[in-house]
Amino acid sequence: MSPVRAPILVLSLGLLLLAACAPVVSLTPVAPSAPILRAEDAWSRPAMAMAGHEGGGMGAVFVTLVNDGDAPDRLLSAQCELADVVELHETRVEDNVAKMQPVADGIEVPARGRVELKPGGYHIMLIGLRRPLMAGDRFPVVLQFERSGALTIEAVVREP
Amino acid sequence: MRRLTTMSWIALALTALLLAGCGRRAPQLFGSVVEPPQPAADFILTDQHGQPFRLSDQRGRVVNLFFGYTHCPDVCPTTLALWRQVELKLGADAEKVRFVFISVDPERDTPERLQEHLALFSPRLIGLTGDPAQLEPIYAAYHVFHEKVPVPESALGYTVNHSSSVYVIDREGLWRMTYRFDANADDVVHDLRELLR
Repeated sequence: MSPVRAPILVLSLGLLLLAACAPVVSLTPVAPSAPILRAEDAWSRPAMAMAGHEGGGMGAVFVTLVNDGDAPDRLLSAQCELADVVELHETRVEDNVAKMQPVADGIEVPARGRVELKPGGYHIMLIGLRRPLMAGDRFPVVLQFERSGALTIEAVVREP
Repeated sequence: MRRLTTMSWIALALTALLLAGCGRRAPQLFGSVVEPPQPAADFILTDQHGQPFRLSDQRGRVVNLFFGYTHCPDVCPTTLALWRQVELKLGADAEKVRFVFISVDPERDTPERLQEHLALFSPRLIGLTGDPAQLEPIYAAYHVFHEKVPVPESALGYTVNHSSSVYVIDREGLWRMTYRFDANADDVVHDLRELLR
């Protein structure tokens, strides 16, 4: 290697390294295209446990999911230790007929937007309640999002 | 002049008569009015406490009728919660009103299950279930749509698509109106009070 070429090589390597660093550096202060989620007003109705009956007790959790970030996210599933199974369901009322069905591919929370899980729409269904839900009770529900991962919310059981 | 005055009196009297007729026959209601009112098909079923319930025994009271099932976590509890609010707002008039929940899922809705479920909302609610052979003619008479839908991907096994309106039967046993499961409680209270006049 000639003495002239050595410094050029070092300089080139340094520039390469800097170039590689650059995007990482710019990511640190503001993360572009990331969802920033929070939950508002998580609630449930009183429900029975009904041990020994087929299907046990049923409950539903309603909540408003707010996304303050620049990218959408998707609620994929939920867990609650009070229920044997937790599913995402959607109620639709068409021609006065109420239909309820599991949500196949999650519930989108749009960027800079919100989605309301509310009666007559989406809900988190608790199947096979291990204890009754009584007015005033509070219980945690873990929400799993496609991009943001787990978010734990606390639902309150409202008076009917 | 005198002739005109007589005419005016007659016109006034006619108008008053018409207005009086209107007031009696067509109260302003928020719900969907059934016009003309139809006799509500009578039925007898056993309630959640094992007591017989016959619709025609309820004459003199206004009956709210809803068809649902206890595995329904959304529309049915919303209706029951609405009934609870309406009952509280009616105060003493609640004695003259009946809230009746008829199961569209007799396979899973036993009287015991109905009893525990309805008690979460109000001790006054009436829950009825029975054999499909008893229930089918009632669904048919009230044009209640109900359809069992298998949901193999869900722990529920199946759901039941069903009509989601509440039927209101007046004190003479006539079907007068329906309201939505997500109706405003004050609107429902208003309508029930109109029918109690």
